[in-house]
Amino acid sequence: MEEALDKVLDDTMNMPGVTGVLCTDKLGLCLGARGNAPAHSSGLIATLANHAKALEANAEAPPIVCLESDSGNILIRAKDGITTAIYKVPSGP
Amino acid sequence: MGCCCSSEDEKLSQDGDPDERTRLILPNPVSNSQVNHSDSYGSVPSSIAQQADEQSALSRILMQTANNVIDVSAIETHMVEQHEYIDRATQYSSRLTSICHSASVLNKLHRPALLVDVPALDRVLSAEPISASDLQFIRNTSDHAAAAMRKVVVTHKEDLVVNFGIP
Repeated sequence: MEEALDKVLDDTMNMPGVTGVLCTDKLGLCLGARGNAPAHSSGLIATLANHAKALEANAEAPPIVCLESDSGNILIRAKDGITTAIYKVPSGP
Repeated sequence: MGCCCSSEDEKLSQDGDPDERTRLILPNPVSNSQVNHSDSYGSVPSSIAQQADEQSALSRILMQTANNVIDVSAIETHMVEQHEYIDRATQYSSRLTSICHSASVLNKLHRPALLVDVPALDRVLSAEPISASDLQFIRNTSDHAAAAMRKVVVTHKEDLVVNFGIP
């Protein structure tokens, strides 16, 4: 039933620099998580995406949230009610 | 003196101790009795007894003041040696580290934190916000995930209503 989503998550985890990936719906229900992406953070990730979308209400494309830290970055984007978060190490310049 | 406000002073002058010559230190009743006793024998012993009373009163005041005063110079000062200072600093830092560690563990238990503290903030802020490859990567992944979720359908495998316990 959700083989396609599992394949997307597995393929994303195989990309270089990716340490974790998480998918959640707009209410924070975790649809799948891999790597070091904690499943219990799905609500926070969905909330961040929703708030970013509320800030850019007139934008055509959904906004991308990038959380930076010394240990890695978290890229968050919501599309069609599905929020995807990618945990990855910072890429070089 | 005839002043309208001097009635109390005149009253005091009748008692014997009204003016500027009033003694600030009153002799005790015992010494008074001695004075009265010595007065019956002459004026010279009386003055000697008064001086002795003054001396005893002054010495008593001196003793009382000495009891009330804290001699700071007599307190032994505790000098912190260099090695003791280093030992204390090490001990305090280890205590702080343990306390901060336990507090962070409690924070992690109660509030799932997405990010931890950033020690080199200037380096993070001066870097590029997001690279073009990361931008394209998150776009593609998000599109693929949304497309994959659209493919999610409920596959009907068994009957929704099952006879239970009926042969």
